[in-house]
Amino acid sequence: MQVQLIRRTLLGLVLGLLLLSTVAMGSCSGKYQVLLGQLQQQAKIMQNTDMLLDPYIRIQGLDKLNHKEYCKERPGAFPGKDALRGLSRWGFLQTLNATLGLVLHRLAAFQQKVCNLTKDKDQDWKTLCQAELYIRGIRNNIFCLTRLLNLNGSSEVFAPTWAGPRTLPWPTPSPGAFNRKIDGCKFLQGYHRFMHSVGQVLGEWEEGPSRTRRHSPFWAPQGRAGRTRPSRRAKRPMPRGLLPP
Amino acid sequence: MALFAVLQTTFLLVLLPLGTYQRKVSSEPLPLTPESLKVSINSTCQCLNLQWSVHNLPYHQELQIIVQIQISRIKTSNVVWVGNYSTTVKRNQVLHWSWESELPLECATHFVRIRSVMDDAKFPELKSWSKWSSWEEVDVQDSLGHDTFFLFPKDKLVEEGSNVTFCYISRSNQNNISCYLEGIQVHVEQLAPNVSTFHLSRVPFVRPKGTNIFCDVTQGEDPKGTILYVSKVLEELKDFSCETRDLKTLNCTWDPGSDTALEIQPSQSYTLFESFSQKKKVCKHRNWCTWQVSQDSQEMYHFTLMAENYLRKRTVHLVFKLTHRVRPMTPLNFFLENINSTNATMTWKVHPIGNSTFLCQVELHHDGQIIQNKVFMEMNGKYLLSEMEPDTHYLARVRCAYGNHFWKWSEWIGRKFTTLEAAPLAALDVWRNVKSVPGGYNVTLFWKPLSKFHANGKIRFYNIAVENLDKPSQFNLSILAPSNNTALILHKYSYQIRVTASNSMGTSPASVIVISGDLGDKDIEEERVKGTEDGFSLSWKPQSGDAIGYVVEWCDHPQDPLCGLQWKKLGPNTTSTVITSDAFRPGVRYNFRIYEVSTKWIASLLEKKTGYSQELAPSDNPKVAMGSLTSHSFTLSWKDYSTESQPGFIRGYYVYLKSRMEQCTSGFERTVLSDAPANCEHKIDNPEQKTFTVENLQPASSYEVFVTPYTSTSKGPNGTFTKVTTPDEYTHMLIRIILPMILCILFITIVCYFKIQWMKEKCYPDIPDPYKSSVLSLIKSKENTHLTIMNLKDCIPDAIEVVNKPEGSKTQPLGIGKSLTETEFTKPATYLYLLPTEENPSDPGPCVCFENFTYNQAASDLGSCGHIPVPPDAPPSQLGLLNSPENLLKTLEKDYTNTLGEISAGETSLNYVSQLASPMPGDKDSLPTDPPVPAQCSEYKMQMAVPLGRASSPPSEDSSLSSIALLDQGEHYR
Repeated sequence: MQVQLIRRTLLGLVLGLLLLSTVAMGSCSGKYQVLLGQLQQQAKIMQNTDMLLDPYIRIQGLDKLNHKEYCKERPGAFPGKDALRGLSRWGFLQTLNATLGLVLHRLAAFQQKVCNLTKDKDQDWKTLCQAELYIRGIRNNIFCLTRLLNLNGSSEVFAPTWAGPRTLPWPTPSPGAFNRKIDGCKFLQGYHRFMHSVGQVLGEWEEGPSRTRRHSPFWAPQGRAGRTRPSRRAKRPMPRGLLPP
Repeated sequence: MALFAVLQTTFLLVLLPLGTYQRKVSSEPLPLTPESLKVSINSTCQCLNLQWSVHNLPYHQELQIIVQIQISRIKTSNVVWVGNYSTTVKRNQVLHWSWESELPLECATHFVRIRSVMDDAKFPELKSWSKWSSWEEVDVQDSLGHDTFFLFPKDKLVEEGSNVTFCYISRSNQNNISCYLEGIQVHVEQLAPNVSTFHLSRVPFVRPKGTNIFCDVTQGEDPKGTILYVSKVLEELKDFSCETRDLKTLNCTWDPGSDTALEIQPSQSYTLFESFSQKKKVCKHRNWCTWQVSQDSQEMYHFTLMAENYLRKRTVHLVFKLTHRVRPMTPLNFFLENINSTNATMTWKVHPIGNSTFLCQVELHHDGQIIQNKVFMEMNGKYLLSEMEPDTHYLARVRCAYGNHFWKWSEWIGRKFTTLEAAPLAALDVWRNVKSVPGGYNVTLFWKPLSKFHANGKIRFYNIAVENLDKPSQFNLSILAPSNNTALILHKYSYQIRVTASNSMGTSPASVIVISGDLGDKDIEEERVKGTEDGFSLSWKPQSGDAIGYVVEWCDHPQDPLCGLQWKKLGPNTTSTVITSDAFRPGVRYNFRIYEVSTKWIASLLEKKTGYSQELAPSDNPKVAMGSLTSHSFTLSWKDYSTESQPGFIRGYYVYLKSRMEQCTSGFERTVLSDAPANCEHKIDNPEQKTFTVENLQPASSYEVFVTPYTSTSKGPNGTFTKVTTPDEYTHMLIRIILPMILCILFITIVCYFKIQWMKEKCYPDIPDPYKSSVLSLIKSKENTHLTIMNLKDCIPDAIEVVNKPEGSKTQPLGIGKSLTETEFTKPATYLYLLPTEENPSDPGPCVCFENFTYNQAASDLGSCGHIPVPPDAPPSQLGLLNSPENLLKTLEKDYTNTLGEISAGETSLNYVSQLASPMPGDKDSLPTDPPVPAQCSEYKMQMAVPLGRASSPPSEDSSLSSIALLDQGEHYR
């Protein structure tokens, strides 16, 4: 338990620094390798189930179940590695951004109300609440990398995220709270696997920003020339089979 | 009006019987029969909602009725609940009633029917039950959907401690469905062919995300489950209170208790309602809320605080007068001024509340304790703190309350401060240790640090002024604090030493001590004292009447070199005291010296005491030496044993003796030593007696002995016994006899040894060795290599000339450098007879002369060896030629060396000279009168001259044999 706590603390420190490095600069780094390296590192950290799935399972009491059997990724919920490889860089980043937005939404819904009451006392809640900040950090790096690529001709840049007030509605309880718990578990399992794939794909991006993908240039085909300021409502390609929020 | 009423009543009385009669006849439904019964389900609360109406009421006025309701489950005959519902009803009124089912309604078909009866004394004719309504069936299973498994209730919210019944509908034919509560399987009962239930009693709160209840339906599929949200019970509100600090705003607080928030239930809300003003406020915080005081000078307030969640409400009331709930704000501008060593002034201000006065409380703290406390009506916000100690840390603080009506004190405001230093108050407690050295003495001064109270600040240094009282002179020393001793070397004069302590503000009074030139060491006997856990109780007798005090001195660590000198000063009228110290340890001997201090400040030794705070058993046993062992006793000795170094006063010794005897020897008593068999014990009461003789022992017996000391506490440690075996009784006697005998023999032996030469010469003198003869050297010097000494082996003796040597003659070998003249011939050798060589040894044959030049040169010069064959029985006078000493001397006077040189090998041919030395009794100087008897006291020695030609040849076996044969022939002469 002690080791786990230290591990989490170290992870938190690393992620916090990564997030702060982005936020503190106030502006994006203009170095492709720096941004890519940060994203790779963030993806590597986020594929660890200590960050989300494990605390979620404990908070929900699913550790009393045989969660390894039940908590399997729902097929098609997140894009696979091959699907990610097939995307252009722009498409990849936008897919990643959209997916993380979805995760943030689910996470916010999960944390609502109860999080404020208990998170100060429970380490799992603290971890979950911190994970939200980390994901926002990843999205910021995505934004910066996209903008960097956009300087080379891309027309689509989506906005960075920020930790503003949550206004998303509480999920409808129609499936039953128990099913939602199981569903959340599967979702986070898929998320971690997805981040693993993201890390692998990003590992193949070692070359400079000028390299083009095999199918399409990294700047999007639906590029909107001349748009320099990102729009939060910009349409993002939704990964196939993603669950609705 | 009254008439109308009477008429109406009369009319009704007439009509009612008529009506009753008509119903009986026409069989019409009774007027109270419920109609239009409708039943619906509320899944959230698991309620059956009933709705009906009573159309046939005979009267238009409101009537009191009782409705009886029957509820059946699965089939109408299975009535699970019957109850009455009392209400008022008017004609055509629709009535509602609800029933909460324990079993989730989705799991079973329910049937409901009702009937009613008038509950009004004015209509006794309607005092009978109406007919039952028809059974109304409620079944929602068809509307559940197409799933094969349903678990109910869905996500139910209950309070902690509730009982909850779950049921599931399984449309598949699965029989091995297991259900779990938080992973623990629960017992399931079958209610219907496809419906099963399980019951949970007194459910606890598990987590805000709810308690997981699930069933494994199909292998490999997700479990089917539901969440039971168990809310903590909303607690009663406690400690509800309101107060104001400025008469403008009320601040109400309470203890909120546990938070009852769940995923589906927010935290309990709090609402404040004031009755007089009818105002209401929803509080944003869990445990406090502010209320704006109205401007209309409302004095009384009646608050109701209500806490509420989905399951329960709690309320609490509070009524008060506003001015009775004033708690002033914390005073401000608090300062401490004019701080000196004992006084300080504190000032503050109070937030004004109208024209009210304030009650203030001042506290002064030191070391966490209140040392001053004052409450007074605040006038000018100032207070003088006095009677403080110099150089001391304090905390001063103040708080105030509303003066018109005390409600609560404000918070404290205060500050820590330190008073200034002052000169030390008291003289140091000084003592000395004086050691005489040649020409003076070493004085070590010790002093105890002043207490904080007396020091009045930090002591910087100690001043020592030494004044010679005999020869007016003085010198001063200054010792830096925190040192507490110093050493002085003084001459053999009297000195007065004054010691003071100084801090930044001044010097303490002097402590005076006088060292006398005459130490006056007296030989005072040490007295033993018995210590206790409380210390040593010491008393003494005053020596002189003018003592100004006494000092008891001791060492806390007497075994350490530094010893830790301690002292205690006592007044002049004190003759006893108790010495206590945390350093006192059991088993350590402490020595106390009591000094009397005279009016001249001179301390003289009065008494010595020694003792143990607690005596222990001896730490070791003496090493016992054994001595004076006899057959009946032995002595034990342990004189090296030190009694001073023991952890208790040695009171004596126990001597233990083990033997095979059943009875102990006298002086011993039988006892049992720990971990040992029975022993004989003897107790020695005198610790100085370190020898003991064990007596009355059995000879030749084995004993084991052991000596151990004892103190007032116990004996010494167990040790090993020393074995002693007493000797045999006769051994001693034998020694007395044999020893002198041995000594005598030894003496005789020594005497004999020293006389053996004499005996040898007397009894068997050595035959001179020709090889060592000086003649040889003479021969060699003349380089006559043809001359040599004859070897007997090489000779074939023809005859043996036996020379009878009288007793007492001394034959000495002729050594080199010793002349023949020096050879003493007290008696001439006697020739007994000459043996024939071979033919007949018994017959005297022709004489063959044997010549020994070494011995008998003169004789040989007499011609034909000068030997006269004589018969064996010839008288000794016939041998007189050679027996005369004079003749012999004459012969010897010739130069025998020349003679030797002149003898050629051919001339000498074969010559034997045989000599018999025979000690003869009688005077050496007188010739023997008896003929020589060869067999008696004769020794045969031969010296031979060997012919030159045969000298170098090895001796033949024959010659040897011949020689042996000759000897054999003559053996009877020996």
